[in-house]
Amino acid sequence: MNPLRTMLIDDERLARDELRNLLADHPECAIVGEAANVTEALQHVPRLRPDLLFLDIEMPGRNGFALLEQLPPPLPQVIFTTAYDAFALRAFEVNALDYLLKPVHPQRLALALERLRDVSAAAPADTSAHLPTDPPTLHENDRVFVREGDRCWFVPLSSIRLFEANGNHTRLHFDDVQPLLYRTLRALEERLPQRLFLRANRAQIVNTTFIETVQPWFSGSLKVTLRHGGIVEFSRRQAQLFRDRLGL
Amino acid sequence: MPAFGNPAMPAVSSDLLPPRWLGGHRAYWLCQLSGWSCLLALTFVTFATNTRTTRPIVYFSVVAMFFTAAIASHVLRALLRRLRDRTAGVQLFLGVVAILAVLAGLMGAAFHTASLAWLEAGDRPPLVWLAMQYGFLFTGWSAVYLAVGFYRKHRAATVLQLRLESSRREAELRALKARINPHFLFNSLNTLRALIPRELAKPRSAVTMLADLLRASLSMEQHDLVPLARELETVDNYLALEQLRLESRLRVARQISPAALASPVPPFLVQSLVENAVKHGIAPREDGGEITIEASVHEGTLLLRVTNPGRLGQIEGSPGVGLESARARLTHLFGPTARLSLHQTGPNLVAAELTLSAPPFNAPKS
Repeated sequence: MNPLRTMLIDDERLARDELRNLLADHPECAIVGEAANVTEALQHVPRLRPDLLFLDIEMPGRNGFALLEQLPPPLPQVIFTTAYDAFALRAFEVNALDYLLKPVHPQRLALALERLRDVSAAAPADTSAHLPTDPPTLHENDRVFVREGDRCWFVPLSSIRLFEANGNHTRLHFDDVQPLLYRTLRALEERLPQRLFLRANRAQIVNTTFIETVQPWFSGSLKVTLRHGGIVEFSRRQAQLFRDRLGL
Repeated sequence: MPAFGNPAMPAVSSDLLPPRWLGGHRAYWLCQLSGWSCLLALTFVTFATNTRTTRPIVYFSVVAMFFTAAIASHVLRALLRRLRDRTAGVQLFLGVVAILAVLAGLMGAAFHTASLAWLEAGDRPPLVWLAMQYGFLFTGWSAVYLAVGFYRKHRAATVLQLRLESSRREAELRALKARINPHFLFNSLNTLRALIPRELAKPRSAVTMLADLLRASLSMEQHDLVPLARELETVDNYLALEQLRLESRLRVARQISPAALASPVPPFLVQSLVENAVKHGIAPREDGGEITIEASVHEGTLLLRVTNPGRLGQIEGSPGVGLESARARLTHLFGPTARLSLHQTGPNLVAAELTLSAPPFNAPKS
């Protein structure tokens, strides 16, 4: 098994050293780099393409959440580290991301890494994501990080039913929420797996696995309803592409 | 709810009061309506059983008189409120007696005059008897009205008192929790863990500093005031631990006049100013910055200043709470001349300035 390419992001040098000490017992993690703040991390993460981040939440200027919002997908696995952060703990109630409290218990670290292995075993990473295509196409199991107020999600692409342009941002529709992602729809479209996603019109991209009913609509367009809510109109041109794909 | 016009009575926030309809005079109107209706019904029953006359005009005039009495009681209320809000004690008592006497006389006379038209000479009550009846009625009315008013005022004052007390306790509790910031504590422990495999001297001294800091925070209860020299030891311990974490990002300059070292200050007050300076001036900056601590004495007045890089008004969270509770503490210990304020002292410099001039009137407990 290839070692996990691991990066340590924490503003305190000694805190990074401490993680290094702890990770010495886990040879499956190969530390490929460090960053002391979000600015540094934004330079190094896309270049080093780590599989795993140990990410401090409280950092000067921008915090760990801001980093995840700004990193281009695909996002690596993330284990948060925090000394005492009620905000962070609250945020994790809604999804299964892991976090470690500093000072870190060695057993707790081992458990976090074990869980990570279980998760990656359940959803094997697509090797094509690591081919040197630039920008790489995303895999349906790749996740994006979105935040809305106090809640945040690490959501796999496959569970997003609709992408909707919203100025320079994109509104994601999944479960019963619609948080904003800080990327343009155009930039996202280039990276989304085409097998799963299809542009419906200038402002919307739908996940074809969520399509429930299709109805002919005015002048060659199509009206499509989605499971769990949402009605999308395919423009004439996109409707044709959609028919071709379905072999209609 | 009657408005309490006494200027010494602080305003009670509206959420303490029952829901307002009829302009907040709901209880008054309910009492008026039910009280007068009951009395009228009672009178009807008495009339029907005891009186020789059964002419409808009698019943009609009884209703008219009750109506007049009810209106008169409303006028009485206006007079009582006015009197109560402006006078107190003997003056109030004499005023009420005078109003009641005049009102009873007027009502008696009115009833007597009106009854000439419809009562037989033998049935007609004497004027004095009528006036006494009305006097009795209105005295009872006034007693109930004033008693309810005073009871409500008393209750509102009690609620206000309780509320002040609980907000004071809340502030104490918050101060207690804020003294050692858990983020600082756990980060320091993490730093210690990181230091131990590499060297021995640094983590050993760090443990001692942390112990001193915790001890000082625990013994804060026992002293209202400590000499500045001792407070600065706490500050130095705190800064040394922060420097272990923040390394070269945190730089500290001190300009402490030896004359200032004996000045009494509340424990952990300077520490909280320095901690704020680190939190808002150093921690958010990737390159860190310098914190300056200055203290001097001029004509018995301690001037203390903690400066950090930054801009006022850019602070996230609620910095006002800490500052407010520190001010309240200072006012309690030093009186109203104590000053604590934040200033923008340069394009990228914020200073917290503390001025303690009055000799403390609460002697230190130590």
